[in-house]
Amino acid sequence: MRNFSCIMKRELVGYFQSPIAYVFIITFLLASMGCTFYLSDFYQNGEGSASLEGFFVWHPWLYLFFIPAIGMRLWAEERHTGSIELLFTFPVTYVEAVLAKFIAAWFFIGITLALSVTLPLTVGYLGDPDTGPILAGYLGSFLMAGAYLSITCVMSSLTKSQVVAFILGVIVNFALAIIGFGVFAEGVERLLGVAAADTLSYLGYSPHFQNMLRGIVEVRDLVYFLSIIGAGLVLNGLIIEDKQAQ
Amino acid sequence: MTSIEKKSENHGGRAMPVNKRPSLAASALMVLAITLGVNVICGFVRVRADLTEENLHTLTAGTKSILDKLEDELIIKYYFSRSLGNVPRQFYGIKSYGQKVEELLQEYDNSSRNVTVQIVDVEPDSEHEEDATKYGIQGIPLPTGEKFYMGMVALYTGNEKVVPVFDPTRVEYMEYDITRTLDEVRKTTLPKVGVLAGLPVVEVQGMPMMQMPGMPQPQPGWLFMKELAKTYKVETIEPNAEKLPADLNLLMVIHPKNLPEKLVYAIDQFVVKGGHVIVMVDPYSRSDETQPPPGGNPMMGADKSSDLNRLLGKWGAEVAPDKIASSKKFASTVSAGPEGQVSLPTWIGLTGDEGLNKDSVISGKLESLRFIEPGSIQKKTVEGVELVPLVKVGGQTGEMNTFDLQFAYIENTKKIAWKEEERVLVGILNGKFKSTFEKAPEGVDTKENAFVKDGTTETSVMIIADTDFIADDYWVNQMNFFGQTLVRPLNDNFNLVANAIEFLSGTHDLISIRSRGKFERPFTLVKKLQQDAQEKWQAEEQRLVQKLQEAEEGLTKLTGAKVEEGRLILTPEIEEQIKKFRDEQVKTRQQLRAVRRDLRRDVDSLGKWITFVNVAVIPVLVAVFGVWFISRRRR
Repeated sequence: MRNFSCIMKRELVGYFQSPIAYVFIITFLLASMGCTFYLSDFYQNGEGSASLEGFFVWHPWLYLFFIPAIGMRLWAEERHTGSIELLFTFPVTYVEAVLAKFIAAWFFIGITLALSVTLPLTVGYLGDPDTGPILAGYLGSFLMAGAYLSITCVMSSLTKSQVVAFILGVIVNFALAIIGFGVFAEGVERLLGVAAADTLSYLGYSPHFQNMLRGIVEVRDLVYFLSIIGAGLVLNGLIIEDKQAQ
Repeated sequence: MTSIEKKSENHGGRAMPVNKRPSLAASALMVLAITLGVNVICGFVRVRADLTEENLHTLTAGTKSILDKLEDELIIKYYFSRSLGNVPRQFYGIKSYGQKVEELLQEYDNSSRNVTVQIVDVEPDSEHEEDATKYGIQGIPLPTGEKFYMGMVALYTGNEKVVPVFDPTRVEYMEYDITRTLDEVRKTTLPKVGVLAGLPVVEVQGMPMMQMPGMPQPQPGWLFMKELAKTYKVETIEPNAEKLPADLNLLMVIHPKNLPEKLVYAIDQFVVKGGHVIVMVDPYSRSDETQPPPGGNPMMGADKSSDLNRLLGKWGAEVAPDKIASSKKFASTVSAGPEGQVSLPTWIGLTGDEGLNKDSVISGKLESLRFIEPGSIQKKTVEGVELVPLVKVGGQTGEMNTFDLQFAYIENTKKIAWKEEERVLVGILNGKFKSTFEKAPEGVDTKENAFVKDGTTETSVMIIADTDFIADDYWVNQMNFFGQTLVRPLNDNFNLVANAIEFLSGTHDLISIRSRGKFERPFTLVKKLQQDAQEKWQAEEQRLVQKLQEAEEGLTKLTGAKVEEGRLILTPEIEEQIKKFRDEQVKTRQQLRAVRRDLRRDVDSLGKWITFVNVAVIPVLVAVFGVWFISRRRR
């Protein structure tokens, strides 16, 4: 256990000691707030709605690029520089290593997300928002971020190139993001029929995230995100172990 | 973390010898399969928490109960122009409303095995559009020329019921409207409404020449009853009846006078056993044609009151039959012949914003009501029963004796003792009711219908303390237009009764569907700013408009005074005045414009400030922190 917390601390502190992390946070906040206020037209000259829907709706697409940017270096870098060998000279299990890195990164993303707190405060100041959907939205967004991250970790562990890890991370996450989404879903519906389309879109992020944005916290949506996170971590561990064995 | 341990092929330690481990690919596939499996299994588990403040996404128990009663398959076809492009900006709200309806309908599908919801995406000029029109679903015409569809039809064992269009102003009643439609399509017969009336409300056809003694006299009936008879099966109950017809969905007791004991008992038991009743009692019914008793004191006047307090009092409310509710604030202006226009506090006129219960389906959307010499409903505390007011009169109110109506009416209205007190004119008693009787009266057969003292079924009794309000003269204007009778309602009195009958003739499940919350959450701070500015602007505007008027008057006086020989003489004095007036005008208009600009400016600057705080503040703080943290470490 001690090794686990050791690795996690090292990772976290590493983030905050690097200027890149700050750039990441600032860019994410600027991007998400920019989308909210300008693309979603949050204020609408005073006629807007006291809800964070216009904020959350961008997350799947923002995460698409921001999270692989964080996750790409988690394993690829270590394997590339060889520092991974150093890592495993310590009495640390694969499980601990995978978890520690993941949780540190997830925690960092969580902090970034939490820094958007000015928006719920604003909405509370301007009107009388429904707090349920806001809380559910943050929960859903955090879980979804975890899913994006977990998949990116898997990609990162497959390659020594951060760039490749990034690209693979974007591609797989994009597939999951687009499946249940609007235009794509309708296209599938036309081709394969409603039933097939419904089943297929259930695999994607969109319906689960949308549900939480409406204020509904459902077991199967939680299971969805957690199972992706879990599966990703297991695969991550298996791959690292396999690569180490070689 | 335990789940990972479970799924992992490792045993938490180093790699096992290569030839004993399954290949990576195989493991990976297994992980994916397990993940998929877990999700599929959990897909059947429908455990969820609705975190919205008003449970917007959850169906009420009443709806679920009605859905449980379905025995066959019920199909809901929701015709929705979901993917219609080029929707003009003002209609975005309507499209998103249609999506909310779709989401709620999905809940119906999820809650019952027997309900299937089909979303029909109506494209223009498609056969879907034809189907929709055939069902009677109305399209909303868009400026682009296309029609926007947002309506549904419920199909059940050959019956169909339509909601032609989902009205966005009825957002609170979305669930009620849908469930009511489902409940109606489930039924194969028209709801049965029993009417026991001390006034000639029900139409009785007959040929005057063929009248036999004992047969009811033909009468034209009141318009409201004729309208309602189109949707309900109306059964008249004779005033001397001894029991009520069987299987009534609703009983209406209108202006009860001297009801026989056995009938009172029948009504009592009807309610105690869970029946719904609408009671209309009145301290003074103008439509009551009772004459003063012959040979009696001519000063006494006729008794035009009705009274059911014997039952009502036991159930939770009473209406004094000799007191007329009066309101100073909501008095009606009535033309009283030689005295011209009079303010009559006993004729109470209310608008939608004052005194109507917004949470009730019955009164929520009504805009104006007028009551004619109504009584007031006095609450009586009865265990297990709650009085919900639907129509209240606030401000200064008082009472007048019916006796004082007969002579010197108008003068007596000036003698009313006013008090700041709310009076209830229409209300509903909800709960389980107790019988007024100790046992069944003599001669009543209790073999088939046992006497019940304490009711065990939840039910509702609605009390309206007026009867005249629904008499033709007081709610509708009828005109004969080339043989057609044109009917123009003067107020919402009819809708009050129609909503009440519709609501109470349904099952109690329907009644329990509370009005849902709204989806809209506007920026109340901005609204307040706008309101404040509006008030300020109005005050300013009034002041400025008055100034303008004064100036104008001054000018008129001047010019009027200086006309000689039919010509306006422009003395330097007058010219000066005209110039002054013009300057005043220009200045005033400028001031008006400035006030309006300020209103906009406040709202806009708030918006800019909000944007700045959210976009810039935290990133700047983060940057500062970052610089500090990193440089600290470097030292």
